[in-house]
Amino acid sequence: MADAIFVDSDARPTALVGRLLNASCRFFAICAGIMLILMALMSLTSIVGRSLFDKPILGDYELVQIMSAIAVTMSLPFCQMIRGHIIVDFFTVGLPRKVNRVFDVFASLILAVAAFAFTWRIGIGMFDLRENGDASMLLNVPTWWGYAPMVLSFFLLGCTALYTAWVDLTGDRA
Amino acid sequence: MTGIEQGMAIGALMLLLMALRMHIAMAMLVAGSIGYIWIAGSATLLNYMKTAAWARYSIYDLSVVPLFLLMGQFATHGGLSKALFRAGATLIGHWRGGLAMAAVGACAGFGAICGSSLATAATMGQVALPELRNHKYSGRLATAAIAAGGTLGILIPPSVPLVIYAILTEQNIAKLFMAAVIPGIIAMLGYMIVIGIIARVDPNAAPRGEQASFAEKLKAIADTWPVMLIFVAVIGGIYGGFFTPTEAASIGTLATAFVAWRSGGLSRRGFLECVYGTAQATAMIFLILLGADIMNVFLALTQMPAELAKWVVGLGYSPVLILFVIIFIYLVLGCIMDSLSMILLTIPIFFPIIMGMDFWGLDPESKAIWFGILSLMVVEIGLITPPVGLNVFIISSMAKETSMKETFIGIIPFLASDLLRITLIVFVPSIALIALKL
Repeated sequence: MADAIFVDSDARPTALVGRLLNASCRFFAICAGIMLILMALMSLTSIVGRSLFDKPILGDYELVQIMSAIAVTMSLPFCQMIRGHIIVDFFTVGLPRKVNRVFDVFASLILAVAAFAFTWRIGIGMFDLRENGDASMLLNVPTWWGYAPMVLSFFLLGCTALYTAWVDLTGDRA
Repeated sequence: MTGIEQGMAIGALMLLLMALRMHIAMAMLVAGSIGYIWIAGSATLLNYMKTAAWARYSIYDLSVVPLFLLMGQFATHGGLSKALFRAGATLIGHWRGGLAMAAVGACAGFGAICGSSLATAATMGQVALPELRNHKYSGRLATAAIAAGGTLGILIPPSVPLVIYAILTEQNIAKLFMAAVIPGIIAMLGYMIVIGIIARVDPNAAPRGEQASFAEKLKAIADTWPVMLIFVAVIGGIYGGFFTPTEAASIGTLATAFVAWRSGGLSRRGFLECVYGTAQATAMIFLILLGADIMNVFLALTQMPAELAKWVVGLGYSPVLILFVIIFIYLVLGCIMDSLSMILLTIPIFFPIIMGMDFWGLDPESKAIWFGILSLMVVEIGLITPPVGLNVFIISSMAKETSMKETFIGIIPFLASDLLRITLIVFVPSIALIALKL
């Protein structure tokens, strides 16, 4: 969906792994939110500087690019934790619950595989970038700095997807 | 196999995976990856994966999307939907059907600071449904009006799907936003007229509210100042070229955060809900973007979109007929898919077809903008059509005493007004385009 409405439930996982993952996902989501607010504050400062003192923040575009990329990726694990990714349930809604659960386990496992594959490839990409010293144009921010949170986020996304698959498999909805 | 056949095969695989409850984003990603390996080999895919996420997520223009989402969250927590509905209710509540019209108008107003349909429907449902119930409105009319009104949230800029459309087709976001304003207002008026007609046919469904005094009206309107100010700053700023969309969204986000904080909506819990809600919606959208990217890279490799466009144009049918076929496909897809996935999957295929044909001698840019507005309006209809009408789901969950079937029946006249408006804009593109010439 292009949009969603979020209602936080007070239910939290009880098992230790679940609690740890849930807390990490929420922590990442909060980091993403703070990153966005910082990004907005920076843009505002730049606009004020530009219009009043003819002095925008140097490299504000680059900073927005880096910050939004980090904020977006850090949001990914949380969405899987609360099962907020969108699926088409129209064709399977009439099937028994058990069958649907098998599909859900399969979907989560595929997401885990994809997330770990991205972790691996982005990780390699990060080392490539560090070696060849790729950096942003104006501020000279090394590009691999932006990659590092991405690697972490995709790794957490993979773990979370494995966890949701396990929860669906064992029927422990907590 | 030809490119078209390869594209069809992978497309079929993707739809199958979607039907089997796989995340939409993952269905695109998996099918797209298989197709990519099929054509270019796995080494190329592994190489592509190194930079794909960064390349997509660090696009400057896209950074506006999470900001608009956060802005919508703050606006919801700032009680702005309530102020808007009160203003509408004091102004026209004493008309026949006036309160339902006020709800639709408030949806439009809220849409001007929120780029999301579901959020608009949900927040307006909370505010307006109890009032409509107290005034003995029929459940069918009340729920249908708000579910339909919610679609204004996306139609009236800012609008997340329009940002995506702009990036996919390399069009100017500011111009697309401007072009959406008049069709959005027409949509609002259309819904109000529908309510007016229903109220006349069945006066019991839509009783009159009380008449408010002049002072009350003035105060209620004054209470909506943050909305007006934010809308003018954001949309005016973008269109006037003072800010980039990202800068405008930054200002809007901070302004709505301030309003929410002033109104006491940003307690610790309220703030966390805003942040979590933003994270969820952002992740959902950007995971789909990642999947759609790989699908579209594959499609480009097969050259299917270009070949298909050449073939369709070569058929020699009238462009309007082809356009209506495309609209029909959107309506069918919209019954089961969400608007963003539809735009991401179909625009790379439909856009070259539209651009290859002549519509009333429009120049390429006008044509691209006009088609963007049209597809936006058509995909939004999917939110209120059965079996999967997310706006209706949301409203139904709030109005337990009205069955979902009742709501879907109530939606029919609103759908008629949607289809009428779409037909109007198909034949009179200047309704959308005139705003660009001002």
